[in-house]
Amino acid sequence: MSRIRVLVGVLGMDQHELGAVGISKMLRDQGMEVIYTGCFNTPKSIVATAIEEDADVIGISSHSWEYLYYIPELLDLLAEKDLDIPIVLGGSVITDEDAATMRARGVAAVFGSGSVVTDMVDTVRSLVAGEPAS
Amino acid sequence: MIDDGHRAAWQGLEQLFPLSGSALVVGITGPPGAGKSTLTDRLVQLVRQQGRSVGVLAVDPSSPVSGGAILGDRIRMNRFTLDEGVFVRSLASRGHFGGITPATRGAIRVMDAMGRDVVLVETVGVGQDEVDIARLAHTTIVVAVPGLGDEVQAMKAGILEVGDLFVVNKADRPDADKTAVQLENIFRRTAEGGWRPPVLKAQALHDVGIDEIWQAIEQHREYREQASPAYRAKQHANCLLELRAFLQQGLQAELAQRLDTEPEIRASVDDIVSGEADIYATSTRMLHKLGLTPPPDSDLG
Repeated sequence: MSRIRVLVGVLGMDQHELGAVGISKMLRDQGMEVIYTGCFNTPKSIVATAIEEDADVIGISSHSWEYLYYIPELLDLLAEKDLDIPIVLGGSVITDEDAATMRARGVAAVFGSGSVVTDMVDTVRSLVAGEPAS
Repeated sequence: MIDDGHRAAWQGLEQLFPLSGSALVVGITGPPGAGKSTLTDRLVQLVRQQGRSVGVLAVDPSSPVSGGAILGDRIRMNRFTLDEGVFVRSLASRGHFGGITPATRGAIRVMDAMGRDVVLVETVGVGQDEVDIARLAHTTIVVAVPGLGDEVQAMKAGILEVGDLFVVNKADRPDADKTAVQLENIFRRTAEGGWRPPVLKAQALHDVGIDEIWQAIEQHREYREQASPAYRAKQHANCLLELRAFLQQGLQAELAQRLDTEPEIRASVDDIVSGEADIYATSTRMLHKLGLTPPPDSDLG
């Protein structure tokens, strides 16, 4: 039987891993397989991992500004390799403006502070099912 | 597709058969915390230094409750993420105890056919069936930690029988020598023409003992190539177990499908629940109907 495979990681020099670990556990408890890549990822390493692991969704956890820097590069790299893998970005420092910017750039869903975990899990599921995130 | 257990994947794997068979497959198993992932990373480094390519299958347990899993082994090898000569794939055990799933053999074949010179399979190492990796690997390494003390004696007989090489990792700890000696004593008596598993000490984290481990793997390869009767017997026994596992998997899939579609089976459930029919007699009849057994005796009890 098939399982949803979610790549979860933290980009750049950001060392806040708790959010990533927390969401990984939630996804696991909902029956998904999480490929946990920890910290110090670059867009290149994320893409290489996503290919090796057949990731259905890429989850980036961010507690620093670095997502503004790295996410566009990640999106471009995925497009370059013709990979249609949705990105879900989560983090407590993401402002509403930045969330809008990220979504406009191509991120499938953004979850800032105050987000409900069940919403995040549901979003992952619907993205895999081919529905756009609400 | 292989991961999801689709029988259709078998055809693809069949096509890969002519391309496979050249990779060296090494299994790495042992209890959690023994340092398997670290050792795997060091072995990857060694293979790359030899100029060869490597595939890694890292198997982690699925939650028995939710069916999900956190696959985190690849973190220990993340320095190789951008190295095209290293392909790391994480697999969840998906309900198969002890780390080997039907998918694992398929994945090994794919990596072999991809041209990987060496395939390292790192498995969970808990539970009875951790020995299963020995059926798929040319050489199986069992990683143990010192301080197990009398636990070494209690180590499940299966794993002691199938390990081709034992590594006492974190050997800077006290008790390392004692643990190694205990393991060596177990293998003191080896059958004629058989392979006596070496017991090595290592500190994978500090790059200590890795070359010796590789040498032992090479020595084991030489032993295998001599194809002694003892080794051939082991190969045959392993293959029989594998074949049985395959057939069981296929049979179960087939049965599951029939159970869903065969109307008589569904109808008989009502009769059993109401007490009109006997579950034994019904099962016997169904097995015959499915073409698996000869007709039941009509006058039995």
